[in-house]
Amino acid sequence: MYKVNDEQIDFILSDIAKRGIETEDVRFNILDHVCCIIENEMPNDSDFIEFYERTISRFYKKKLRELQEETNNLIIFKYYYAMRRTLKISGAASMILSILGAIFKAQHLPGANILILLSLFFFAFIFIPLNIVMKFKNKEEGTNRFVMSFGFIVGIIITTGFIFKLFYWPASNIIMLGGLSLFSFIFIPIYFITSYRSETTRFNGIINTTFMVAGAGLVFALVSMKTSANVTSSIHSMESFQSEKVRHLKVKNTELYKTVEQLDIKEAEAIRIATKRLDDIILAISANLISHSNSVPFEKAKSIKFRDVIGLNNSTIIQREFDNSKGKFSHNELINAANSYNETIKLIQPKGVLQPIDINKTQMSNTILSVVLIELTNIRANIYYNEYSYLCYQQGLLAQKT
Amino acid sequence: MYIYPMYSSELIKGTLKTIVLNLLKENDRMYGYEITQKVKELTSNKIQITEGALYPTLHALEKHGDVITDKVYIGKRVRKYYILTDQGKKTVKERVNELADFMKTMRFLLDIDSSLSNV
Repeated sequence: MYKVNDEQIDFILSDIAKRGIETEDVRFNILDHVCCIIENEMPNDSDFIEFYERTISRFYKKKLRELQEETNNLIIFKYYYAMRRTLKISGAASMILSILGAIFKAQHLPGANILILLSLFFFAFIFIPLNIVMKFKNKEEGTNRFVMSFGFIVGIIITTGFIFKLFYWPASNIIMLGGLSLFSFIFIPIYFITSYRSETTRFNGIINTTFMVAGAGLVFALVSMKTSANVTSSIHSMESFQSEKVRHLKVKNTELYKTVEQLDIKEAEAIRIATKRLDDIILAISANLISHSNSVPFEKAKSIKFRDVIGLNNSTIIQREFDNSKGKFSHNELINAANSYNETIKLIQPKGVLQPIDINKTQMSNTILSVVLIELTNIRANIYYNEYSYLCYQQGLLAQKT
Repeated sequence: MYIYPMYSSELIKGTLKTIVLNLLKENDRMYGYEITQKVKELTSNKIQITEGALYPTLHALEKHGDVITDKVYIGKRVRKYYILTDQGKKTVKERVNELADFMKTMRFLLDIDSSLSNV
């Protein structure tokens, strides 16, 4: 029996590699097989090279590379299964999480945002990209792949917009409006035209287009891109009402202080100081927010009226300058100031007449500028009202005595 | 291209996996060349498996977990022996039963028995 020697093995290996077989496993499979054929079937008088050429040609139709391609396809096919599984799991996970998130949100249970965020994340960054990849694997779909992939990318943009909106991150409206516009004015028409052209997809195309137009319309209608004029005007009237109340109470209290002055009560002075201190802090916080929003110096911001504030719907300034700030105009600082105010009024008789300020009950974190400014004015109104109540009580006592 | 003489490739294309799996069931471990020779021998040259079809099939079986491989080094050569797994054993049974059933149906559909007796 003929024996293939080491030199010949090296020759075969390098030839196989030259012919485009990259995977070592496949190379050795072919090598062993060729050697077996040569050793078992080569006639004694024939030439090694010539017989090798004849043998190797049995492995392929046009070129040996076919074997490598076939193997590659099989390996990709293995990923295909894993991908399909991931697709199913991520789809189911995003569905379940979004339903749970919606229930949690409706019931005001903790963790709703995390559930929705996870759901949107699975949807936008696992489910949709995998769908695109799978579409491109399926060569039968033709140009449809590009149309659908464009649609999927638009889906990712809109979902990202939802995530941004949910967390009051900046530019959420731009992302969402952009995504929805791309979807409505580019994707839907293209989808409709391409599906209408072919008779087999025409009916489904019409149905799907109807659904998509309705869906996009609903989202456009439900997610208001700007606060409505009604809401804006009611916000302004709410603020002016509270401001007016504060102004009025301040005037009243000044008069009352004069009346009760003759009593010379230490408590009255304590309240006056506590009220003034908290009021100053609140005014400073407001001025700081307005100075950032209107891009004016702090001192100038103090005199800016609510109606002249720019960016009342802005939430970034609130996050940066109030919620997450560590400075003297932060949310934490306000809580501290309110607590020390509460400590003072707790000591004041009669008990229960003065209402402590509970910052946690106000809606001030993770919201927009107008809400925070109004809440701050509300607190001012409350502390002046406290002061007013106390002074009225003292005035009553005084009247009784005389 | 896949399987030549005697039978058309379309006819046996779908049965290559079954043939390979069944051979592995009857022999503990086999390598590529051995499989082609065995098929040739058993079918008296009626079915000849080409290498171009065999290795992708073996790869597919390995990826799906129907077979595992055992590498034996022979000098500078590496020989991959293919061994049936438990899952592979199940697959053989399913495949063979399916094929048997299919042949029965074809026999009935094409009326082979009676046409033979008519000759």
